Amino acid sequence: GELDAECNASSTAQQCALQETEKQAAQEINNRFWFNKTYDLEREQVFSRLQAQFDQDPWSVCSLKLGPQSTYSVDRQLREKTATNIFSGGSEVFDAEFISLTDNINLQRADQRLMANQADFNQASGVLDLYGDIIYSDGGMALHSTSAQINMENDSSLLRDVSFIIPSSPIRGSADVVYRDSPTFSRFKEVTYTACEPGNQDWMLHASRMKVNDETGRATIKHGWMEFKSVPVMYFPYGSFPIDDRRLTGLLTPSVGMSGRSGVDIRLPFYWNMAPNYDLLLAPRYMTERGFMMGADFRFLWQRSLSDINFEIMPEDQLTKTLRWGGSFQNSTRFTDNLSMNINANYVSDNAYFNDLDGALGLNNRNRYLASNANVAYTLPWMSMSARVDNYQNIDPGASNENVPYRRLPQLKLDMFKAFNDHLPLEMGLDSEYVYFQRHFPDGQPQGQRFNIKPSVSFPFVSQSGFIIPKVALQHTQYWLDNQTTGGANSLDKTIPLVSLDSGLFFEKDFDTLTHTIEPRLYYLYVPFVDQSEIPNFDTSLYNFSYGQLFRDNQFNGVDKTQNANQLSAALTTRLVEDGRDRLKFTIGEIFYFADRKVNLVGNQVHTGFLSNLITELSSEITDELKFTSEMQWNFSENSVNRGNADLRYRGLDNNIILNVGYRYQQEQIEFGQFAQNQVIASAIVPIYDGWSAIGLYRYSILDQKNLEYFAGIEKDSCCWRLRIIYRQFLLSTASGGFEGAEPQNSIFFQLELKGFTSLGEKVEDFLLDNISGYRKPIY
Amino acid sequence: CGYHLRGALELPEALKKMYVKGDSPELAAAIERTFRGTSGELVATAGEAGMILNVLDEFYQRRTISLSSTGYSNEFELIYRLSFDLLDGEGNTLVSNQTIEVMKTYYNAQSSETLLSKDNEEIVLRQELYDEAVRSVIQRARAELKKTYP
Amino acid sequence: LEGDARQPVSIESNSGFYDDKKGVSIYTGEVIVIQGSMRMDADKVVVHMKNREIQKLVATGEPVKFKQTPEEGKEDVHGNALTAEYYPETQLLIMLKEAVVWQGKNSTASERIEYDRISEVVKAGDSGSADKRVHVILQPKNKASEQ
Repeated sequence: GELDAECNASSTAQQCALQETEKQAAQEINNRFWFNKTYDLEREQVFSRLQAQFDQDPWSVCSLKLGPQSTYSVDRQLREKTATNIFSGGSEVFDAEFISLTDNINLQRADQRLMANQADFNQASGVLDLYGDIIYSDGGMALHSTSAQINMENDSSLLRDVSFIIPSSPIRGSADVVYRDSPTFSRFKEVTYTACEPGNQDWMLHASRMKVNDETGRATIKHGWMEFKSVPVMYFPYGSFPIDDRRLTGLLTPSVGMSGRSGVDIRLPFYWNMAPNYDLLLAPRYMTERGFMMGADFRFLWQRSLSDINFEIMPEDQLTKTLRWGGSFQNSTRFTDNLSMNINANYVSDNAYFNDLDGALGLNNRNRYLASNANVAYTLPWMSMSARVDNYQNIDPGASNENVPYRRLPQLKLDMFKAFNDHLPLEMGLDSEYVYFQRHFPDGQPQGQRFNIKPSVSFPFVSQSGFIIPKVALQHTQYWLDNQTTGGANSLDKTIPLVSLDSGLFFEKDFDTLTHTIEPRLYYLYVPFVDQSEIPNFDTSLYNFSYGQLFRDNQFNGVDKTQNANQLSAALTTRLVEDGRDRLKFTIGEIFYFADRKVNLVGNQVHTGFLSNLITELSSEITDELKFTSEMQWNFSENSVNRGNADLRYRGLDNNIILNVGYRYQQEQIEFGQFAQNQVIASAIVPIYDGWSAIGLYRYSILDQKNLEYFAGIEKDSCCWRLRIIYRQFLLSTASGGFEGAEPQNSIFFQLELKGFTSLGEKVEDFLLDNISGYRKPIY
Repeated sequence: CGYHLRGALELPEALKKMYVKGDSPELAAAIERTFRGTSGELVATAGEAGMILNVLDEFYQRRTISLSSTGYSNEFELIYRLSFDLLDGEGNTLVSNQTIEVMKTYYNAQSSETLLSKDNEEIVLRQELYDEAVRSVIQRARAELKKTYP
Repeated sequence: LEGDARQPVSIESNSGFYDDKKGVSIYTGEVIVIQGSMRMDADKVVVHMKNREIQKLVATGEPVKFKQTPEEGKEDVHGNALTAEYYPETQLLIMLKEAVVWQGKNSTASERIEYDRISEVVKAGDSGSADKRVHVILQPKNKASEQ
């Protein structure tokens, strides 16, 4: 194009260099005004020429949404062994050592490519001097310069007025001077730098000094300032970030929120990647209503163990006039493929900690208890052994801190399952567990040890067309209780046999592409009655009654209570299957009770109904993107629908549209621990235009006639930055407690994430993952 | 009337021996429990296998699906997503990049009396979810293989 | 070498004849031209004389080969081309068409290469025209000891 007009082959190198500096001076002047782009049209054209040097466009990662794929590697040993081929218009060789080349030189050595207008090469010293429109590219980077001196011996070089692209991140930038001291270490002076694709200068980092060390994969900068859409945003005296793994990079980007409970809430996280295997995130935070808070998150990777220590402290909360702090220690270690350990210890200073301080997108304020646990597990396909301890802290300001679940100090489990080979249809299983249940705050509830063992033997006659599986199990549970204040015996035990027969058939008929199946299933269960009224409920309540419950051998989900049973579950499933997908699936089933159920959690009521609830399920994979599921339960004794829900979910495979609509209805069933519920929920992420998408969720309780939660937000996802603004109204339980004691909270959350620099969007992504069905964390 | 008992898939003898690669311990246990119903046989090494189930990615999540009137979660949804390829003994692809997603919901009012028991329930539901996913994998694999081996 | 310019030029060949009208003598068949440390082998050499001095010598061959020792103890310079013109007074050798010159392990190839034996300068290519691109090959220095 006209770019080279004044500086073409006819004018000498000196003339070219002169025009170049004049242009530089002119650019320097208009750079003084802020709203001016850093790279002018001419430099952007250089960047697109550099971009073309790579077989695969480094910024293809933006459109493919796959994350940086190809590996850009540099093979230095190969360079020393390969001949250098030079093509040029003319060449002069003096004494077989000094070579001067003119008229668009093209040099190739292994993965290195070099183009220049003029070059002088002293072969003895290995020093190559280049002038005019120099383009250099190798496996690891591509750069353009106006004058350069390269030492081919030790691969060190000095280049002036450089524009460069590092494809692995990908990042591009320019610098007045670049010293490449060795093949893996280079120093930049007056550098500007961005992750945006050529032609896009949305954000730009300026720094007076930058050092890039390929070996440690880290870059450090001095006197840097950040510019977003040509507006200076941040200054920082020192910054350090890895250049190879994008997820770990992290520099200062503010996130701002506003909520009723803490006013304007600003976080200025500073990320310091100290070493490839440990890093520190300091998160100073200021809330106008509450004051200053400091958070620190130290992550440490060592061999196959990742640890994360998190600590937050607020010296004085202006509203509560108290010191508030919270700490957590997470560790997950995989000693071998089968032996793993997980530690998840948490504690906060008071029960309103999360309600007050969890911020606009907090998820912790939806939990009533803060769990801490540690477990070691050894798992094989046929056996799993685990040891676990856990403890709970109340974080519902409306509840008493002493009303917490039992602690398990420890819980030891050994489960085995052995399927013998086919011609001997025999399966043996063993579930065994020892637990010491302790009250964190002794409140008269029983404490003590429990040992439970449940061997089982089954004879599965299974084929493609059906199955008959008789199964016999014997459950023995032994208790040693500490302080039986109610005068009961200190040691109790129960031994209960369970006999079941599961059977089913698969009928099908092919209708060209569709296959229609009819799958009847019968499950008979016999469990004799054993009086268990003395036995405490350490970790037992009633299973949610659902289709799966038809084929379980106990109404209770813990070993403390085993319901007596003489019942037959009958179910029928029919499907229309196409390409292995259930285009339509209907299931109907219920239990016929031939004996009254006499075991209860509390008291000694006798359940006499002959029919359980009738369960019906209707679902359909309409397409791979659109799925419908629904369930309804009919209660015969009350002649009414006991439970009903329906969900329609759309998740576009290539258009990134997500739409969910759901309805959930539940009648009150105290003995199941279920309260009445009648809710509608809708959520969506819909792309609008040019990377902008709208995000929203609406949760309305018809029963309580009030909004339980809604949020609306926008997200801009471009190649090198992501912006999110979310307004959210949700309910927070108040100190007065009870079921009316919850006030709606309004909050706004704002965050700008600069790809290539910050990966601190996790909080938002976890929030969306938990709320919007079908949402998946972005890879890039 | 045309309805017949589902017959065993007439797979060539070689494809009967299946090896599973890249599966998590929980998925491996589920396969051990539910594989009995197929016409295939699990083998321990890739070498002796005629068919390889290559697990590409697994994702398990528990998310809130309903809130109580005081803003606490009281109903949860368990989602398990699994994507896989099916390769034959020599490694060329029979079925590529299939994704299976299964879900279950359960009620958990997070009361101090029932919290531990609901943990037990989630463990049982999670196992049933993995079993259902394995059955879907087998159903999807049967459908795809039926095309190549009618 | 230093004293080459003053050395006599000897030419051997299978046959040769003198064309008086044009004032040239033509040698054909395994022609060998030697001056000091330079030696040239060609199929045909045409020598242009002017008042009993060799003004220009044009050699053609498939290809013409030439060898020269630039200085005592230095590696020989050698090369070949389809046509070579040699001017003894100026010690200038011009190789045309598929010309290649080796200096030590490095080579320079082009359609036109000038070798000035006095200043030991090898000039290749012609910045004006595109077809006379130069291709220089620098062999890697095989380090005696592996670093």
